[in-house]
Order: sequence, then structure tokens, then C-alpha cells
Amino acid sequence: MNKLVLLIFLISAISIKSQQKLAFSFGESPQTLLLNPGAETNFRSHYGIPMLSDFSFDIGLTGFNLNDLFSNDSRAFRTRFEQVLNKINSTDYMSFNTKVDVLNIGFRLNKKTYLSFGFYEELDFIGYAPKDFIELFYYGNEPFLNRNFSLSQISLKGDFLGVLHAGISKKISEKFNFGARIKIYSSSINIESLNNSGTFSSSTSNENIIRQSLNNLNGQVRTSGIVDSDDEFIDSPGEYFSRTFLGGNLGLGLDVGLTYHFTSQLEFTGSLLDIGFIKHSKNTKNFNINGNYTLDGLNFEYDTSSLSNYWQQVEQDFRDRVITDETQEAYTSWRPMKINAALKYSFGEKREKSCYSKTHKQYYYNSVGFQIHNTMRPIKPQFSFTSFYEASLSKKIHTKFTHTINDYSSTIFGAATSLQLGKLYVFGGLDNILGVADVSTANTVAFNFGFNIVID
Amino acid sequence: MNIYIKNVMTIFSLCFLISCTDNLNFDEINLNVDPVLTVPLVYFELDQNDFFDNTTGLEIPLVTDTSDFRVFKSSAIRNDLVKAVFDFEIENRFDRSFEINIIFYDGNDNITRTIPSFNIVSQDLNFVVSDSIEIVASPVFLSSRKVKVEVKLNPSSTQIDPNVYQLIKFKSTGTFYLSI
Repeated sequence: MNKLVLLIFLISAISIKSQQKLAFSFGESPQTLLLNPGAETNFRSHYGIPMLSDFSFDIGLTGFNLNDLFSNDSRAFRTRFEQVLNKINSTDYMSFNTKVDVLNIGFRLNKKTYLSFGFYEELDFIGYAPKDFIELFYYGNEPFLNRNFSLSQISLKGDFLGVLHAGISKKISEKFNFGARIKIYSSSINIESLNNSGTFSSSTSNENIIRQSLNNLNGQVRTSGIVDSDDEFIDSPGEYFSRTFLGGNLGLGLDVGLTYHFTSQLEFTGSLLDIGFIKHSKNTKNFNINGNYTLDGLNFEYDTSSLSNYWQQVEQDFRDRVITDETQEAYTSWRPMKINAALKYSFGEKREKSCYSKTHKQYYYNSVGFQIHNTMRPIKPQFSFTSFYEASLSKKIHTKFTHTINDYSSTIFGAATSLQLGKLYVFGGLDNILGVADVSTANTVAFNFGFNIVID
Repeated sequence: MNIYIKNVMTIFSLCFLISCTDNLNFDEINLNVDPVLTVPLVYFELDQNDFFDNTTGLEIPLVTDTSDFRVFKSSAIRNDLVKAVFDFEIENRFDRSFEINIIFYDGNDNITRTIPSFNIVSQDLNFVVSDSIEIVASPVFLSSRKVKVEVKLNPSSTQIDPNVYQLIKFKSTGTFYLSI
């Protein structure tokens, strides 16, 4: 059973990632508005199909792949594990993010203004590989005399939340379109351990053969939504979900974005997403550890006049110098802000498209360009660079082909298509086409889809 | 249009269907973690005054001290310990030799382990010795809760002079081999 769970977990962990590269600035589908509130819209209204209007699943693992651990060769599992442990470093991470668009509706207020609003659920996690402490646990401290094991490598952040949002996309001029989206976050679960510092070491000493030290220890784990006010773990899934709709710890966020046409053929799009915070004050439980401590051992004094319990002294000294406590203090967590930008040059056959209110939009059948995507994360941003080629097969069928370089790989090829079937807009994308042939060696595979009813 | 959609769906389906993990083996996932932990244990320095009674003017031939030893209070350690190795380093700047005895006791003061005595000759500045305990052979050692270190001044024709500075330094570590 454990192997089955491990298998499912690891198959999931093949970096299904970066579907936003495919959807950003592509196809004029309504879901583009969630990636860029300043995206141009050329429809009268849209109605997302509940739960299906935008679904994304994004899970990643850097530093190694499944084949490194489970290849069917003669090496013992232990050998493979140790090789993986040797290969990874403290900036490798596991992350996942999934969003389910529960409700998404938009309508045109006037020729220049499009409004959209909705609600989605999001699960987001990133945890870095604390290589020092994995090695300490696996090998012990004996092989690592005089090495500092750094607490700063322990860094993780996880959220389960609901997001109620309303946005506006406004045409400022023929060249410039601007948009913004206000978000109300309702956090059901938050757990984070960030900005830890301090080291543990075992070193040679003059006092005893070795000395163990905790230097400038400063660590914390903050949680909300996991333990209730009676210190009991909350084990009701229904409660976790219900809190995502304004029943949890609330926060505020903002998305902004723009589209700018330098010429009829050269377009820039950019957005900043999730500039926001959540104030956690309900069901909080925090754990802190601070201090310095040096252990040389039990210093026998051979003083017959005052017998000492040396072990008890050591324990008391540790408690006095390394302070651990649990609190229920409120705290603020920041959302992982995303930065997206794309520059697109269109060329080829020029076509016109009828839009709302008997207006027309001109577009080209082909375009090339590049995009950058950056998600702010605790240790370093998750950055990716994508070059792309778009081709419209007809007025209603658009395709996009991408090549991406990011933390996972430098050879990620993707393809996406946007279809209009009557009033139904369908978006689907698959990234790392080469990787899906053998997911065991792939560091990234991506998919994304959405179904929306669009009224032109 | 329908043909196009079918083609697109076929391509997407194929991509997932041809995804293979046939060359992976999940049957031999068996990872034993065998950490080796080293911790500092007893250390001390004794000088000539510790072996001389100013009141009587006589030598003190034996000094002892005892402490709780709570390493094995943790059931995790007790269950996973395979071997324990104790390392000792002694620097004897006395012009006398010493015998040192280290004895472990359980909570009822029953002996659980006596580390073989070692004799340190005078002016031996780099005495090093180890004692290894295989838990399979000595499971009773896991019930150790106290440790006593006796330092015995061996008889000699010369007497301790409280005005002449002399020193014996004792250091020790415990290295615990676990299999989790």
C-alpha cells in the first residue's frame, strides 16, 4: 500500500508545470484575463463552465527525476538514493499548484470596458530540499566533523485558499489596454517556515574530543487553520473547503496588467499577479526556537562536598539557552507574486474579425515572440524563459508552439490550441512533448484546459 | 472541423498513452537508514590537590563521580541501536600512574557494563583507547541509566606534593550506530 502511495506521489511529481506559458497572451480566451487583467477582449460576454472554465495542475521537482531513483538496473536502491542525495542541493525544491475555476463570468460594460469576476480555489506548496538535514538524518553527524548544518535550508510554504475576484479591462487608446483585478483571499490552511537561520555543528575541541554547537539558532513554523482554539487538529475536509469561501483568514490582493501595441505588428503584454497578503488570526499555531548552545559533555567535578547531577544540569542549561515556545499570535503571509511579460511580433496574411457591436479587429495569421514568467518564492524566484510561434489555422483555430528554459530543463517543447466551436471556446495545451514519451526521465510535463461560453 | 478536433484529441491522447515508465522498478524500495551519531560524554581535569587531603596530609587514592546517563531513555534509540563505541583520550602529566574504571548501572544500581580498566603510566600525554559494545551480544547495556568514572592513583614510592602542579585530563565520546 505504501508503495502504491509512493508511486502515485512520484508519478505526480514529474513536474507538470508551467502551463501558464502556453495560455499567457494567447487565443483571446476569457481565461487569459486571469493571467493578464489587461488582456484585450473582443467579445460581448463570457460564461465559464463551472469547475471547467480553467483547470490547471502544476507540480514540479528539481534536482533529480524518477529514473534516477527507480531505474530498473542492477544498482541497489540505497546506492541510487545516495547518488540522488549527492546530486541535489539546497535550492532544489518540490512545488505544486493547482487551481480550479469554480465560477467565472464576464461582460462588456461599454465599447472600452470589459468586466469579469469569479471565484477559484487554489492549492499551492513549495518546499526546498534541506540537504544538510537529510544528510544528517541519513548519515548521522559522525562523518561530518567540523561541518555546519544550516537551518536556513529548511524553507517551505503551503496554502489552501479560495479567491473571490473582480476585474476590469479597459481600452485606453488604440494602442494601449490596461486592466486590474481585485482579489479577496480566504485562507483555509497556511503553513510556512521561512527565514530560518543558525547552524548545528560537531567540531574538534580543547575541552573534550568533540564539541556540539547550535549557533544563532532562529527558527519558526507558522500555521493557521490546522489546529483549532482547543488545540485539536481539525480533521473535517468539509470545514477546510467551507473556509475557502470567506470563512477563513482573509486577505487582499491585486493583479494589474497591460497590452501595448508598438505597431500593428509588435505587441507587448505584461502582468503582475497576486500582489497581496493574508492576515492570519484565526486558528493560528506557531512554533519558535531561538538560542545558542555549546555542549562539551558531562564535566565531572569530583567534588564530594556537592554531588551534582551533571545530566540534569546539561538539560537545564539547554532549556535555558535554547528557548522553544508555542504561540497563537496573528501573522501576515504574502502571496507568491507572479510577473509575466511577452513581446510578440505578428506577420503573414492579414485578416479581419467581426467583434462585438459591429466592430472589427485586424490580426495576422502568424506571430513569434518570447515570454518571461517569474514566481516569487522563498529562496529564489522560479523563472522561465519561453520563445514561441503562433499560427492561426482559421479565424477560429489558433495554435501555439513553445520552447522553454527554466529550473526543470532547457529543452521543453510545448503546443497549445484554442478552438471556437460555436459559442464554446476550448483551450488545451501540453508542454514538454518530448518528455511525455518517457515521464521517468522528464523533469517537466504540463497540461491545462478550459471551457467557456463566449458571446461575440 | 470535426476531423480537426479528432486529430487534436488523438494527438493529445497519444501523448499520454505513449507515456511510459516501463523502465522503472518500484519493487525494491527498501531503504535502511543507518546514521552514526557521535556525542561528547564525560570530561574532566584533576590536579594534585584532588588527590591530596590537606587535613590529614595523606594522599587520596581513589576519586569517583557519577552521573545520570539518559541516552537510552529514548525508546527510538533503544530500538534502533546496533553498536556503541566509546572513545577515550587521556593526558597524564603526573609523575604517577593511574587506573581508570568506567562502570554503567541500571536504575537499580545493577551493573550493566564495565569497561575494561585502563592504566595510564606517568607522563603519558596521548593515551587513547576504545571500547565497542555490540547490542546483540549485550542487550542489558540498553538498560544503563548511570555512569561512574573511578580514577585510582596507583601506589608509588613518591608522594603527591600539593605544591607541585600536576594534571590529568580525561575526554570521552560515545558513537552510536543506529539502523532505522
